[in-house]
Amino acid sequence: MTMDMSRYLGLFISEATDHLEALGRDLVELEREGSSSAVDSMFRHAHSVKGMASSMGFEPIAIVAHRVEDLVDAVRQDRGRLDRDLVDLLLTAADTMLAQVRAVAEGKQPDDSAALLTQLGQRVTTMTGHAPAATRVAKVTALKPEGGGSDGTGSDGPGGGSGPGSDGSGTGGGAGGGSGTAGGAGGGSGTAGGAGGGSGPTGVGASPGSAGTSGPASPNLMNGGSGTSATSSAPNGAHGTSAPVSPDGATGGVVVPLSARRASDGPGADAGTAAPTPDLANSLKAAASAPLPDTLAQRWAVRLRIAPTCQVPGVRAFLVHKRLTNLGTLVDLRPALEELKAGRIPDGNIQVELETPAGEAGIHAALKNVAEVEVISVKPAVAAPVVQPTLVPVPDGARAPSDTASRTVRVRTELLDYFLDTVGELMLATARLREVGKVLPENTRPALEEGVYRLHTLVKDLHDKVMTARMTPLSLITDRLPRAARDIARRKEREVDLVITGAEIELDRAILEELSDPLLHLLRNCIDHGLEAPEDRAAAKKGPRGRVLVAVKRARDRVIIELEDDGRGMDPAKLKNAAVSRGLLSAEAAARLTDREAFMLSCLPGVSTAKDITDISGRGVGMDAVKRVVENVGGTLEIDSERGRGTRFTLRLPLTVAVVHLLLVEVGEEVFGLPIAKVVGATEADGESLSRSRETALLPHGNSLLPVHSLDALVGVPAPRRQGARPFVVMDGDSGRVALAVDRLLGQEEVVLKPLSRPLDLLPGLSGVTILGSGRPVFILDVPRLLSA
Amino acid sequence: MRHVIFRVEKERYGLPLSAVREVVVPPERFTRVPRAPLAITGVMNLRGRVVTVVELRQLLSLPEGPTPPGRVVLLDRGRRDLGLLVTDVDGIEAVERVSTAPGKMTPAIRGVARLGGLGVTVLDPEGLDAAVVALFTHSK
Repeated sequence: MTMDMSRYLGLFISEATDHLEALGRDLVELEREGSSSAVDSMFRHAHSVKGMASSMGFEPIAIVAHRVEDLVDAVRQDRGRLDRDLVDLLLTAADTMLAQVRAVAEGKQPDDSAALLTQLGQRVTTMTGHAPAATRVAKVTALKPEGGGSDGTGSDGPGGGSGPGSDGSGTGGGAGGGSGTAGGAGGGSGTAGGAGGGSGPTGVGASPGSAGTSGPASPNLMNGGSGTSATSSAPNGAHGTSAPVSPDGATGGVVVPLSARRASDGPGADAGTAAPTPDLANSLKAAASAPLPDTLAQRWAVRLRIAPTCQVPGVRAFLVHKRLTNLGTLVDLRPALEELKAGRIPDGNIQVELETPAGEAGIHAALKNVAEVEVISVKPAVAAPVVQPTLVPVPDGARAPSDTASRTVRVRTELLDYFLDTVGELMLATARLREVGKVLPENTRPALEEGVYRLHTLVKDLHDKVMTARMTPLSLITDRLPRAARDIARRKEREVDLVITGAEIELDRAILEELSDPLLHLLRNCIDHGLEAPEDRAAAKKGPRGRVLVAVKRARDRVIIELEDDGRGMDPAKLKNAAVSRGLLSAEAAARLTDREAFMLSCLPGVSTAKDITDISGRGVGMDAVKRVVENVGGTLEIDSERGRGTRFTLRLPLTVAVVHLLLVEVGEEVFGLPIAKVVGATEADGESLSRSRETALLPHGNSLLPVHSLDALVGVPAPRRQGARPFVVMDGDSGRVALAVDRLLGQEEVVLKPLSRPLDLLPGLSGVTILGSGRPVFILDVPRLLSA
Repeated sequence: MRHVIFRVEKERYGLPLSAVREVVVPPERFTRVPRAPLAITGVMNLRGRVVTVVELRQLLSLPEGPTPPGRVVLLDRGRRDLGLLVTDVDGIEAVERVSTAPGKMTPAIRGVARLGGLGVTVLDPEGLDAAVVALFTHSK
């Protein structure tokens, strides 16, 4: 009987990817700030990947990871060894491993990347003075006996095998075969020791104890799993720790706020008061690392319940958290803070362990004014026994990861999409049932109607939950930005500080996925075109380092993303000239544009103010694509700029799947939707009597003449030739207004936009599809694209 | 393997049962897709989902002719909402030995098989899928 490794392949791919991406982020952060926590965290990521890859039998990945681990270890011992070239090399290695993991995901053999290995090996030799050690890789079949038999009853033996790295910090000799992952966790704790004991920043992540708790078939890989959740919480703490040392602005490094800096929608959650709310990992760490807690501080176990009728449990829970953190140090919080904020609180029960000198009365007083929250009990709790500093976090750490592991699971995104579709179908089916009920005889009706009503409320509730489950924090895409910023800046020989705030704000994942490329493009734009060269900055009396701010905010039902640079700003006159010289605009029309309108010209294909097109911007996704994507998900893009001061791009986005206002028009027998946002007006005229220029009819509108396009020809739908007066819709096109000849105006409607599924998304000129109340599918047209394609 | 057997005019075709989600009666009218290739009949609303319906005759480059819209065979290809317009559906039959089909090789066709003394052209769901995408990408 052989182990079916494919069961773990998915887990391996997703976790290895997480580790590698984190490794890249840490590197960028390390280069900026040189914080020791980043080195430790990098070591852990490399070590975990090595362990996972070797237990899966992916030798090429394991070897690269091993070398990276060696190099990071060398850096850990002497920070001075870290130079740009080494960062470049390590980043290349991280990228290579990501590519290898991707290859594995596609069912291919990972590339052995010999050239890179040689480079890495040489570097290891020059830095450590001895040749790199061999990497031991498990033969996959060898996992069978170690795997604890057929369906392993969770023996903790194999996981502990080579234990918490006898020499875990060395060349990784302890990480042979299947026990590699357990070694990963062990390496983590070794790290804490290596970092000089004091703060033990990686302590939370180091959870060798969890090795025993995870049961199923392959303890090795599953350990990798819990090790991961452990390490993924550790960087949070790590960031938290580095913050006080180097406050955000001071060193101006890559500041990715992982602590909860909530948008102002939570009552009383303004950031002004007291300390910024630390997250749990941070408080755990704080509690653990404090040499001797305030002797007056006593530990209390507080149990709370949020009223089941509460509409905003997340807000209430957050408020509770905030009040309690103001009192003292939170030692334990269940559910975890992220869960609390998302309102995922089973039965409304919250358990807190708190160390505070305030006493029982103080706790009651602090919670008194929080509406809809009932304090069930406040009892003194037994404080954790004082252990040696490096070991302090272990009991908590061991428990926390296994707890979070049981509360959150990874769900394939297709499954989430499927849930939403199915719930949509459930809603329609329910509506259908209700219609059927209306024709039933009077005496049978009430029973059915009651059932349908109940079904309706349940389905609606389910829909809300599915929508909540689809909400994903923006950090999913903003986490990539620091690395991208570094790469772009490095190539352009610029210095950039990227500051990201509000990345914890959530959006529907469908929208989020669409935004990934546009955000990256805007960032490129800011660094590549926006920021000046260092000498120009000096001449303009600016600091040598450019600054790009990515700020995410919630404003009622919208999420606002601002990307702002402090560069040279945009020149409206230049944009106008470019548009005119490309024939996209008449000189008169250009003269009439306001500055803001002129900035938007940069979203026209082919208009770019950059003196030269570089390989960084000016290719691939252009500003026109950015604008289109933002509009397709139901958002808007604004550009603001001041010469010499910088440029700001503002994206206003809906929280969930877009609701759009449409003007419905009829052409032949077909109905199409035109986004109202783009419609300027409608008028009626006799198509035959219009004057023409080079065969294009011209419609007088205001004091100008608009080119007329007939919609039937544009969409390729046959329509009978019309005599006499017909309606025209006047719309904003990319290069000025246009008139569309249609057969009939059917009126306005507010609809839910559905994205186009394959193969429809391959067609130009469609921005989505919707289903009208009558059940008829209707396409929503992207007129500028129809005109240009 | 069990296959769904359907007809386009007189010719019989089969698709693995696992690749077929359901068979539905087409709506009275399809919504036409702007600028779509000819083989695309249009889209229909299937309980809230927008399904693209392709005329199988055109997809397989059979001679032109009207397909009386009898049934739509919906493919279960991941999240791709794709339906084939066919004349009628005969039922589900076990199809065993598939041999090479005569004529030009196309990825949409796996081969032919004998069923109750008559021939059945066995289609390949992946190939069909690819053929549809190719329609969209090559026509422009």
